[in-house]
Amino acid sequence: MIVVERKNINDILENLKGFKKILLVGCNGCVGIYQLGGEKQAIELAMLINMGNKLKDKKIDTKAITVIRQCDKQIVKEELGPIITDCDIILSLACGAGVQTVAEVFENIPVIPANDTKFIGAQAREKGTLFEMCIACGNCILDKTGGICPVTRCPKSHLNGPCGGVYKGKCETDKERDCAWLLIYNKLKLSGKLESMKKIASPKDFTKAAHPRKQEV
Amino acid sequence: MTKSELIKSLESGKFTITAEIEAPKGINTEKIIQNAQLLKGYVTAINVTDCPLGNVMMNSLVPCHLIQEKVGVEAVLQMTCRDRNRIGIQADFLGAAALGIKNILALTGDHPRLGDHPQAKPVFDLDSVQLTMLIKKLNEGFDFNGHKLEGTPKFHIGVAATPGADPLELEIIKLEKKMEAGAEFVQTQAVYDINILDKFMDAVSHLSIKVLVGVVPLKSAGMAKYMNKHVPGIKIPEDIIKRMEKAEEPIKEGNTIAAEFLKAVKGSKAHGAHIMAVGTQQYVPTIIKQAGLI
Amino acid sequence: METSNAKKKAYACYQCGVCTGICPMARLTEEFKPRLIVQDFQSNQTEDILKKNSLWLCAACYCCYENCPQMINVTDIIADLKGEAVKYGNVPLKVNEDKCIGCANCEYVCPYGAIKVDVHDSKSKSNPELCISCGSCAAECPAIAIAMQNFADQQMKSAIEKTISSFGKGELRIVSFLCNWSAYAGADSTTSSRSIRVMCTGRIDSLFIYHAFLSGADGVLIGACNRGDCYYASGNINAEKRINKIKKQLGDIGVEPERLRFKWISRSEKQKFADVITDFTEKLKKLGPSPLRKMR
Repeated sequence: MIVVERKNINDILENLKGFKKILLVGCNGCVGIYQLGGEKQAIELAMLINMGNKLKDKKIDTKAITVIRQCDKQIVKEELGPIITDCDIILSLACGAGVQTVAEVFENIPVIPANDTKFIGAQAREKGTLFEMCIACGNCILDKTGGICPVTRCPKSHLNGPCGGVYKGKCETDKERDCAWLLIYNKLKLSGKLESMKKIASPKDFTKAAHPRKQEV
Repeated sequence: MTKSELIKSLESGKFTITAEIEAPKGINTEKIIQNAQLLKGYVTAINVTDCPLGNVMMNSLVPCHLIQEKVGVEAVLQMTCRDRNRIGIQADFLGAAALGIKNILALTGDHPRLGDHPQAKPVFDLDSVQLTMLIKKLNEGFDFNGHKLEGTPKFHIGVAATPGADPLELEIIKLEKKMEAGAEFVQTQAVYDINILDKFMDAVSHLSIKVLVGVVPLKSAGMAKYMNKHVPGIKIPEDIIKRMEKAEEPIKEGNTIAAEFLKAVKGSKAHGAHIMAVGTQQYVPTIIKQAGLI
Repeated sequence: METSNAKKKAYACYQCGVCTGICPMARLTEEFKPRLIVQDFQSNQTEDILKKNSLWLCAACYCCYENCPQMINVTDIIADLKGEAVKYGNVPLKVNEDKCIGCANCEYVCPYGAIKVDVHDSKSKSNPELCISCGSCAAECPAIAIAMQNFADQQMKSAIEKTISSFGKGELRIVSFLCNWSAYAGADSTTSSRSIRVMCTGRIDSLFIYHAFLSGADGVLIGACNRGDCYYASGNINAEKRINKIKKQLGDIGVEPERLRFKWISRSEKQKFADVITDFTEKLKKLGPSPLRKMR
């Protein structure tokens, strides 16, 4: 799912300067599930904005609403349409796709993001941590790498094995991070598939990852 | 085109020595020319690094050219995948060929996070195996996508390997791929333990690759401990660290240890040595003489 | 149920009241008295109890059973009643399925497996027989889809407002959320703070904290069980994580994060509680009234 991180509240307030009626829009998709931009987070943020306003002695109305998916034009139009006239700026708690969808649907209302969109990730709940798992490169090689993506999980996106920077199984860029290629090697070895990494992997075809992409469905 | 001195020497079965010097941080090239002059007569070729650790330095092509032209020692152009995509790399190689560069060391490169520009966007369009493939393709007279070149470069391709890597099997798999991609020689990470080297040489005995063993003279016991702790694949034996601790002149002792190891390498199955004396190039001739290799 | 063992045993009760006296939950609210429950159960007049939400306050600690001179298993009697109550629609919590997004944060945080996302419709379903209403699920729910029947959101908010309005002019307004099992035991020894008891600090929703500050609190104290001591396994740990996140947000907006304090205080540490309150009060005195209060 898409992982986001809340912007500093002061940066958000800076962007809200001069506006009187703010509509906070949460999203119950990825960001809701990860407790980063759901209904509760939208209300929390509204309360924080109210605190900021109190501290600066300003009178600004906040209203929070949450939709199931902000990356769906139809949903955004139907859910927000009836109440949109009552605000002069929208603060979206969704990922970049959600923010842009809202911006496209409501042409004459400014839309600003509450979050920085970071990556496609998976959750390790025990640690309360989200890990990047896929960079959406457009040509998946997980079939050859034991289901572990070196394009994402190796900082150098190597396709043919580890670089010389692997130290005690960890990456040269972060001593806490496992070397993706060591994980792949171990996995392939355990599953008797080591042969699949002995063939040279050709350079990636980045035409499949050239922005902006589209997909007919 | 004729073969490079480096390859001729390796193929002749002679124990071959190369050394490494850093490109200047700035525009002054006098110092590296002086350093290269010191090495002349002692080494077959000189490597020039490509922004090691991701620290900004002069494009290594320029010092390589100057060393060949002004000093008359053959150069090994180091090229990493960190800063250039496949277009930039080919452009540099074509220029290098035009200037008479004959040897290339194809490297992955350290991640920019380790250097003086950690904010930089890492490129890594290719990895070292793919970089090797690319050079081979140029040698065939085509660019990487198969378009004909005007004139055909002839590079000898070197790669890196870590004899002390754990697990070694994974390192060997990667080296096999590099061989398949067209590598002719390998310059290894520093080794201090002859047992590690012997094990590595046995593991690569099925490959027809020329191995130049990395030798890094120690400057202090602290440096040895630091390398053991932080540099991947380096295992400096305890007795060497003790010798460094006891030494009154650690640099001299470090050179002696390097010379002794150099001698041991000569007696092993390896084909030569690659001396990386960063900042202490002036001692390289002494070390070689001390080892009785000249 | 008529012929259950519990029923037979209940006849032995002579209403000494030890169960109510020892019950940690009876201390929490007037509404919950094990003795009266056993009495009504004896005389078959359970209809009233079965409709009361307070039935779900029983956390199955078995203190009553352990201390009953007649060895009546009051806890199991209540468990039977809980099972019966479900038929009347009396449950510890309600999941609003229209709001539930199936994220499973509730499932992850529940130590009893009492709430789970149904794989068929991706909606959370609670199992009242396993639930002992600690409220962690409701506090974690990002969709505000879980409504606790005891310590409901609205009740908590009213309690916060009531506490704040109880302070006199010029008085420091400290709102304390205290775990009924631990920190609250020490709270009697001091009068300087008005405390809100909770079954578990895991119940403390981030919205409660923001609400307290927006309503004019100068400081908020959370008194939780020591690590590893939480009756509900991990409610205190979850609460600490939540509080730390809020502290950062408060600091960023310009409300001193020191105004929000999370402390581990076990039930035997009365002195520690008093010390914590004294220290916190002094800190807040130095900071002065909340910046949110100075305005307007």
